[in-house]
Amino acid sequence: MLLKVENIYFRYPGGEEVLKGASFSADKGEVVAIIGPNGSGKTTLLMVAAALLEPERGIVLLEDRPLREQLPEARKRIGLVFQEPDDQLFNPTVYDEVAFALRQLLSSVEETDRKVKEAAEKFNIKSSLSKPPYKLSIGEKRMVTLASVLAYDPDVLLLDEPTANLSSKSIQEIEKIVLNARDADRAVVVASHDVEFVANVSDRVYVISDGSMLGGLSAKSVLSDESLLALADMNPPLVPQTLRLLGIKLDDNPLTINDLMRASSLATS
Amino acid sequence: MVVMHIPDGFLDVAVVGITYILLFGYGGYVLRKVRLALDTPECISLVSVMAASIFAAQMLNWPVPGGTSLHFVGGALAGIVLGPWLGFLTLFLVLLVQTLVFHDGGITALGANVLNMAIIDVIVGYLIYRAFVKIFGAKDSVRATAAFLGGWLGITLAGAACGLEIGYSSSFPYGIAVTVPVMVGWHAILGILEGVITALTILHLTRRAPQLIFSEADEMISSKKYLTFRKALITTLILIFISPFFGVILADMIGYHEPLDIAAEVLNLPDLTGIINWTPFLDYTVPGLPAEVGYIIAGILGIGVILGIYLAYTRLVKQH
Amino acid sequence: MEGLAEAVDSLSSGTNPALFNPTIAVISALILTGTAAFSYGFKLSALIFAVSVVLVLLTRSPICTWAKILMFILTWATLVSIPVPFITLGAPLANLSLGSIELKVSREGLNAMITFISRVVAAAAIFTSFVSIMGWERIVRGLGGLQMPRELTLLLNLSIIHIPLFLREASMMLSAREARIMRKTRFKDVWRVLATVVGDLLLRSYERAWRLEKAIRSRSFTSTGFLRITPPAKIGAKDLLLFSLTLCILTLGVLGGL
Repeated sequence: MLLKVENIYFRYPGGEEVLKGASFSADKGEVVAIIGPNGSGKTTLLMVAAALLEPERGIVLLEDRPLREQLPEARKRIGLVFQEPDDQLFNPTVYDEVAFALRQLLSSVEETDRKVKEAAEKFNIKSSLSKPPYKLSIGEKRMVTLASVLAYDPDVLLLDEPTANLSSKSIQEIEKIVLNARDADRAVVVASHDVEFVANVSDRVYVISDGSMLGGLSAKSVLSDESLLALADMNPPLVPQTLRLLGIKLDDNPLTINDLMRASSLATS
Repeated sequence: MVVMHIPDGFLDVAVVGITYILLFGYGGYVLRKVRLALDTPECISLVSVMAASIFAAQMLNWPVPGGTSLHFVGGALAGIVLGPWLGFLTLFLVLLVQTLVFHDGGITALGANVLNMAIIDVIVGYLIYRAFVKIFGAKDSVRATAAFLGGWLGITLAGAACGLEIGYSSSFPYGIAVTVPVMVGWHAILGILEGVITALTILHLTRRAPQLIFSEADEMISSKKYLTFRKALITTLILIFISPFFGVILADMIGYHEPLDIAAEVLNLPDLTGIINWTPFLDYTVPGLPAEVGYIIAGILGIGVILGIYLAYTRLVKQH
Repeated sequence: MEGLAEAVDSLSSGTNPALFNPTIAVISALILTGTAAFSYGFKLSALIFAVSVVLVLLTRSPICTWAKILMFILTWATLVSIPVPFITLGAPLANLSLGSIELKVSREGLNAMITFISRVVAAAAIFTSFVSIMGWERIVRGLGGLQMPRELTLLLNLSIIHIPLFLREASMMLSAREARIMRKTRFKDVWRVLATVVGDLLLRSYERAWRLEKAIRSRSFTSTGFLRITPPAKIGAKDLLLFSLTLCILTLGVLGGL
């Protein structure tokens, strides 16, 4: 298992305990989703996983070795995309933002320039390279944050609410990026409220409730379990909801439109 | 609020040189003090973001009777909240941004502007607040008084420094006889408003997050040492404020002259006051202010210098 | 506040940021500003002012913004120096009668006033012309090229980036408070509200600083990796021309006793 987060207890100074024994794991080539209500500790958990917060108890392991012992070099293997792009963007231009990590890793200016332009092309932000990031739209900012993290090819990708405030078209682009990252053998962890997005991309789903984790099973089993979803303060995806309302039961338990189309094509064949 | 941001062209090479030397010297000292911290993302983030928020706070319009409004400086506030070193760095950043981006304050005058607003204003605010809270306790009334006094005196002394800088500068059309009283008088009045703003803001902050106020970082120790110091300080302040009655009013009534002055007159010695006149505080006066007020200010300055030397000496002795 | 935030945003990139090597531009700006600030002769100030006008016109910088700053500086310098012709001793140029008061305008006084104003305005003109051409981002980059401590260039960049964010936050906080004021307010109420805005801005800056620290740390792969310098820009013919012009003006100033 590439990333293991075990038995994390965390409290902010002067505050209540936010995480109470939270654990999850993510391996290469899989997308793990963490769902939960507001204030349940999803962001805190991702920050602990990225070694940006020190837990009171518990451990984060990267390839079975404590992540703390491998810092700061191990940071190049982990990419965290913040929930709010404005919190993450701090460079004067988009170019500098994407190049920030690369300049630490590459000694050649030309190589850095090439990689920045590559990332810009991939995330469709080439025309914004000389602009200040904070002048961009929310969708463009989201692309910049993704580009700035994926530019240095981390093994583990942690995404905090990547679809928040985005249009459906932008969400589709994010889904493609997540699936591409998975196919490139990265471990992807997504914290999200967006049940459709989670259904479309994840292999396994955890539910975080009141600081501790449940689930960790396949996306299908968690997202069709209404009691688990209730803990996460979420409704089931549209497809199972619609099927239930129509009184239709399918063996395959489809969660998404694609699943449904596959199930119906199997049925017709 | 104030005319404190000295533009380019107001200061001559000598004054610019001296103020820049002070800036580099003090800045270097502060950087050494916070060097380890400044190399960390925590410090970098805090100072830069604080500077931005103080800049934004400076842009607020505070309405005053008469239909006009003013802006506050915030040096004392920064000193109280962040302490002398980070307070200096924060205000220095604010001034640098104002100079470089908006040309609010000249490049050649940056040393002087930093000295006035990022050093004097910050240190005075911090020292006064900390002293009051340590001696009298962290109560709302003490905080408000301390913050007000820190804000007022910080701006007034900063204004005095500004008056000295432009007055001693050959580029500026007026000498210290004009610039010091104008700057001190003007800033002493406007400083009242700065003091009020500082006090109101500190009260709001201490109600929301008292742990963030650097100047209250240590627990107030109400030991005998502080009680004795408190009594001594109050006594000294009372003596300073009643001193003009003796030194000016009574002295004038009885026609008192210094014995050495009388001796010099009898011996017909030349009066060199006009030639050897390096200080604006000749005979415990402040140019342009009534003799009684000048007497009090001179008293405060003198006691301040003595206390400063004493504290520096005791700290040195403790270190060794 | 919104307008100021927009102004900071618009100043970030300048009208022609890639025109000059940032370090050469900053050096030239500093030398020319200093030369203007220390000049005692009207001719040198006028020359530097003319250079700033040419720069602004050639680069098609927004002349209104530049002119507004200069008007403010001109007004301020004029107000400060109005008494000078009347209080400076010298050959009388004119007499002014204000009722029973006789005021004499001296030639030396008038010269001193004109020299003072021209010096102040020329210094402001040349520096603001460079800022409007380069934008603050390139100015800060140029300072980095002058071996300014890396911490300081990073601090500057981060501060300037966050200024519009805080200006907008302050504006929103004020609007939110205004929206809940249902009666006529007195000065002290307004001041109390403004003090809460200042206090809350400081509190928010702690929160924002915390998040910024996480953002920096998440992409720093060595202990001081986040302080990495950006690579220097190339020096071209325009930079050499600019620098030569700067040195000429400085030489003229020094030879002419400024």
